[in-house]
Amino acid sequence: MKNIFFVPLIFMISVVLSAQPISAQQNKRLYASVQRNNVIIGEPVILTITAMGIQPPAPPVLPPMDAFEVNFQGQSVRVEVINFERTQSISYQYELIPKRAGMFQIPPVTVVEGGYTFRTNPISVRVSQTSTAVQGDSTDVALEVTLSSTKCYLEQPVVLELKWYLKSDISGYSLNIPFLPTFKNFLIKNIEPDPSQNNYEKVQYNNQVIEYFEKTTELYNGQNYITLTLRKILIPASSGTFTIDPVTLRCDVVKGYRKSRDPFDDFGFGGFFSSSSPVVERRAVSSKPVTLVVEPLPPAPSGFSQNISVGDFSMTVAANPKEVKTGDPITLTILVKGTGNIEGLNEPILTTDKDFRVFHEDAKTDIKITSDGISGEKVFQTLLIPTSDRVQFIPPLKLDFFNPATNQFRSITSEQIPVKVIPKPVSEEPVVVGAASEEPSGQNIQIIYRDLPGTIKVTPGTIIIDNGYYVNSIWYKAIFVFALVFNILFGFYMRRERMLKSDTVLRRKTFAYKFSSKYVRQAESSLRKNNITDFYTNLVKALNEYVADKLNIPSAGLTEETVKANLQTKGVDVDIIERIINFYRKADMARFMPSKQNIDSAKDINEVKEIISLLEKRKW
Amino acid sequence: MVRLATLLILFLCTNLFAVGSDEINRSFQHGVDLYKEGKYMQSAIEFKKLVDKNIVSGNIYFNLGNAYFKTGDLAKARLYYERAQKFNPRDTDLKGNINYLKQKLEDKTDVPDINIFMKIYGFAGFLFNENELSVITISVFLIVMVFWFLHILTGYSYRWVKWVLILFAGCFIWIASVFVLHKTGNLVPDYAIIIPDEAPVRWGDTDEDKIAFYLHKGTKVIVRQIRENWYLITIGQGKSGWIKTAQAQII
Repeated sequence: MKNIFFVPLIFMISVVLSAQPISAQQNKRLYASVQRNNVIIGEPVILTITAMGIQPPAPPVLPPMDAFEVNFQGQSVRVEVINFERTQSISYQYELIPKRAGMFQIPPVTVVEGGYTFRTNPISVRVSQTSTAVQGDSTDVALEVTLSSTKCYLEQPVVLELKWYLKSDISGYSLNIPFLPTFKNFLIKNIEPDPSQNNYEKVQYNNQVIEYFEKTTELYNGQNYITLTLRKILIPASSGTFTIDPVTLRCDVVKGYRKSRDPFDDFGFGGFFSSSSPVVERRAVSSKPVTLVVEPLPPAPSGFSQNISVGDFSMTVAANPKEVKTGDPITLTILVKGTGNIEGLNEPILTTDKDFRVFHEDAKTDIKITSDGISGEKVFQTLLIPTSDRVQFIPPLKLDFFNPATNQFRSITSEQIPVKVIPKPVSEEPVVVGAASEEPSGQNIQIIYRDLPGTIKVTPGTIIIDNGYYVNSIWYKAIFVFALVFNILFGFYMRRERMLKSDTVLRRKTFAYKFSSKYVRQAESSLRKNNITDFYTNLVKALNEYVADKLNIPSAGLTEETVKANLQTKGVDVDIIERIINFYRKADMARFMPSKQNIDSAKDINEVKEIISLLEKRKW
Repeated sequence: MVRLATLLILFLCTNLFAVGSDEINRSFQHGVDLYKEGKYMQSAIEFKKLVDKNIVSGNIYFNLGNAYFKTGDLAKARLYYERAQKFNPRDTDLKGNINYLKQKLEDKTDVPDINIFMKIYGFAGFLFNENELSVITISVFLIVMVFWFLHILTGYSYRWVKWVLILFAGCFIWIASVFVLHKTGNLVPDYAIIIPDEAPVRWGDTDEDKIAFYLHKGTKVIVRQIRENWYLITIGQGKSGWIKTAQAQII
């Protein structure tokens, strides 16, 4: 029984305690790499720190670097299973935007795990000024970023325009737009391309994103250029001053073509197989940083709700059906049209919802995003269930908004809509269930919720910080180890106890020293009382009991001869036997003729103790 | 020993490792208030700040999913709902929201179901989150230890103690194996959510490889392999292909 469970238990515990998502055998390594170490000011350097076999609790913190603005980009996990061995590496990506020119070093990044310190290799990065990076004619490529307005209100859409001016052909390029596809504190909207009106060119940026840039010809600095334009709508989600970092471009501009020498030309084939290769010059340019000031909305005047939408809107409201029984729903369709942040538009509110139960459905948005901004409509559908037949009309709806163009708050209110509510017999009252509930059965059940069935949670629940799961805690492991060790030790203890209880010989042998010590203590007591006879009697008993227990013979009949004979058969050292015999004789003399003896009690008690300890040291 | 074990379990079940600092609560409450005011985008930013600081919980992920859903970002909404499910696997609100969101996705296909044996054997792994599983594992272990102790103490003489010990030791071996499978990520495969509106899935892991099919935002896929900047993914009907890592986020 003990073995059946002991082995798997130990196995499972060790497996639980060592349960980690990666193999403990794999090599642990931390290294850093950059995609490019020769860049211009504003051109992002992507630093990748790869933790192989290490699981940092949080992304590694980079040492302070004055020359770069550091943005954490995210992390990715790479898992490989080779020959049933699972290996995992985590890559952390950081965007480093150079702020000034020079030669800089990215210092080693340190991660501490399990008492070991891992360090990355230092990396050197050369940052050049735009002008020094450009060779030859720098006017054949240019970048420009502009905003429709450099000052706006919160949630007020702003058009960002990136123009790439190009005078010659290019044979390769790398375009980096640091604020795309996501820009912190802003919601970015794409402007829909209109192929019927404009020409478009597919352009790749940030190594992987492909978008259509509008292609036109423009006069720039007095010269004709091909321009590739990308427009985006920025909707600010926070107020403050934001800098739109420079867009950087590296490209190879074709300056001409060189004809390669063709051997067939010499044989009169007229260069049929000859080819020409482009002569290119490397360019690296960047746009100027642009600043956008986002102001918070001014305080709303009294009477306005706190949910202020931003834009310029109009509203129409329709109800269907207009004649219902109590408990039956009326669908209220609210159409809000206008320009501005349509997607973020708040639902108009009923001026009163007395005698109604209100259920909001998902709103549908139809917007048109052009270079003029965002326009369109948002349709809200609300189910109103009259709870009383006193209801005669649907109350007006109110929409409050701030118009940034006029810098004014406005409030629009719909007309009240007359409706007729007929009382319904009690037996026909409908049952209202949620979408998350079980499939409804029965004729009078209606599914009312068509929005998210689960509403927001108001408490954070059990929070885990920095991967602080119970199993990663030292306490968790300690409980396992402690309970296991305790039971193992307890098992050994109980086993020994039972053996001693059942085996008299073993018990006597085991406790021989303990029992003899009792007589030694009694001897010491007798000595303190100056009772020499008792003192020696007890010392002899101590020795006799010890020898008898060890030899498993009765102590009562022990004589010098029997002790000597038994100890000799057990192979006890002759010197010890001699000392025991001598002590017996001395003790007899002391007990029976105390006056004829020079008694040295301290020496004698030590002699007995020494003999017993010498005997205790040997194996019986 | 029984009392000690009970105390330990209670100690673990309560807030031994849960941290509820005022700052976190304030930040969370601010996100909730913004959501209630209809400022979904700001609410999402507020909840995301917590997540970026490695402060996570099922409810934070759930609210983040709700806020993204309300801003129309279905992909991010699904990603955070799925992450929330790891923490709150029995939350009916969460299940309702995921089902509701799935109706709105363009791709109606979903990941293939995991095999029936794993589903039955590892049902505890789907029913409980990691912390709950760890508490159950240690609780069963302590019960085994208590009965082992009694078994030794009574000189192996009570048969019922022996059988209870066998029963709980078996339970421990099972729950511990489920926990290990869960912890090492072998109970369920790695899942990811498609982020862009449309993402091409290719036959191979280069841009030159032919496009096999397209997936759309919010679709859940199984990640079979990760190679450089590419994931080898599988969806229902046995379809597989390579997709760029930037276009899908692992749950």
